[in-house]
Amino acid sequence: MAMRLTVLGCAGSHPGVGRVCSGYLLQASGTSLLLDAGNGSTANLQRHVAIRDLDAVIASHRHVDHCIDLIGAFYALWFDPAFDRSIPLYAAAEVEATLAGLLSDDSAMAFGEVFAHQQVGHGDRIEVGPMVCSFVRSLHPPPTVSTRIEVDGTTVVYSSDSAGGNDLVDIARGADLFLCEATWAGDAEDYPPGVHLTGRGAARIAREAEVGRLVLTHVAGGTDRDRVLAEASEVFHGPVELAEDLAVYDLR
Amino acid sequence: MTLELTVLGCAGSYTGVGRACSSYLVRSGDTRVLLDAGNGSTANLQRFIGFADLDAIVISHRHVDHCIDLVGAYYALKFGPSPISEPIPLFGAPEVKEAMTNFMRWDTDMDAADVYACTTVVGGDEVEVGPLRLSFADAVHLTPAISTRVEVGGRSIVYSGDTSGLSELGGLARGADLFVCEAAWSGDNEDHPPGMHLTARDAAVIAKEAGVGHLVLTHIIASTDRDLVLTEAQEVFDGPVDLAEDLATFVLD
Repeated sequence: MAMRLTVLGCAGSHPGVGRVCSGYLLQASGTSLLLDAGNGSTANLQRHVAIRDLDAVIASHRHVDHCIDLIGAFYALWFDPAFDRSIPLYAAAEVEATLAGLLSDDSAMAFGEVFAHQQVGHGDRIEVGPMVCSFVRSLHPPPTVSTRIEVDGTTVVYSSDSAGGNDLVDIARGADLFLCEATWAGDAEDYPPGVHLTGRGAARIAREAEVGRLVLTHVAGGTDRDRVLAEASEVFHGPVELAEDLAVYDLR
Repeated sequence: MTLELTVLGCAGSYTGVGRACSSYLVRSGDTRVLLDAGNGSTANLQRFIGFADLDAIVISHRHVDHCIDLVGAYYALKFGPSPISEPIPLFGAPEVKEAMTNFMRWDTDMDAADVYACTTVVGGDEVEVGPLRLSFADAVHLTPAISTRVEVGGRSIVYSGDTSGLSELGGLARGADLFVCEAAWSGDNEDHPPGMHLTARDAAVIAKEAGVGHLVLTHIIASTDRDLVLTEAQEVFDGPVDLAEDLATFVLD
């Protein structure tokens, strides 16, 4: 069974030049799963699927650049006369409270009707149509999950924001496509610990987990993209590339 | 002196198909002012200038679709390759300063004041940014909100922000060369919730009574029929009318 990954936003922490913040669309057998919803990502989502046609949303953590477009999506659905159900929202701890905190009391109530929230964390497993999704905790300041999505033997793993670690290696093991953050270039020692990966750091995880293909994303606007790619390619010898908004990966 | 406006995001309330949320870049000579910063709009801003090149920012109200990209811009301005030496002046409607403080605290416990020098402005206030004179009128919306007029060398641009009020905006828009006005909805305003937004005909009535030179309709909600918005506005306002599109530039020279 085939699975399609579409990059909706690949910019790290803030929009880049013509690049919006983190969002990814996974599709298989007519099922559509939105993985994160950073600022601007739903403009690209709607080129492929209407917000009302999403089967589920996963929000990896509460940072604005990973979830804020769910506020707009909520209004779109709440005022949509053709929308008469709830969309499951699988979110790390603190996401729902953060989003509801931006809304008036009435809207916050309605948010819970539009998005059927279920908190997910380390070791949890959910199903969205044919997609089996499992989670591990990610090394990042707020509660954050990395996600593995499997459809009939085909696997995509998304690090979300992560400083790496054994849990990320474990969940990425043998993935066909590993969508891994590489916010920075150069040496991890030059950056604050416990926040993000470098290009080399992502490549080390990919090598250890023996993934088939590494796609680097969340490269910060101020980071040299060519250097991230070059440094990752020195460490991981399989196919490596940089994510770009609207890039499509067909896996089978 | 040339005055120009570039649309960075024209979607209303939430993103549209390939359209980012509200933001406009106003430029005159070397002076650059950002009007609003909705979701995704700064991806388009950076096609033209860097965050640090902004001389001032105006935020019409605290709703996410008008200001949220300032959270990301904070990180670029503070931790990016060329951090700013002085905070950027930010003129915001009431509650904007508090909202920015809260956004930064919630996101990463940072202090918004490190990057943004916030001044609250209300109807009747005027400020200068380089050669540009900015003046404001109170808008009528769910939260405190302002409309903005930018003038230089006899040229003028007026941006409504989000509003449902005709009279205040009409006064500010009088004789404007370019009037960028929200038209969230088509049809009759009685068919929509009160106190939030304008219809296309409302926007066109304001444009007509204020005698503006050129009406640009924006903040059209994705579920609204854009063609109908244009048609209904043209029935009322006899001057040139356009629908805003992301990356469109309007030059007054």
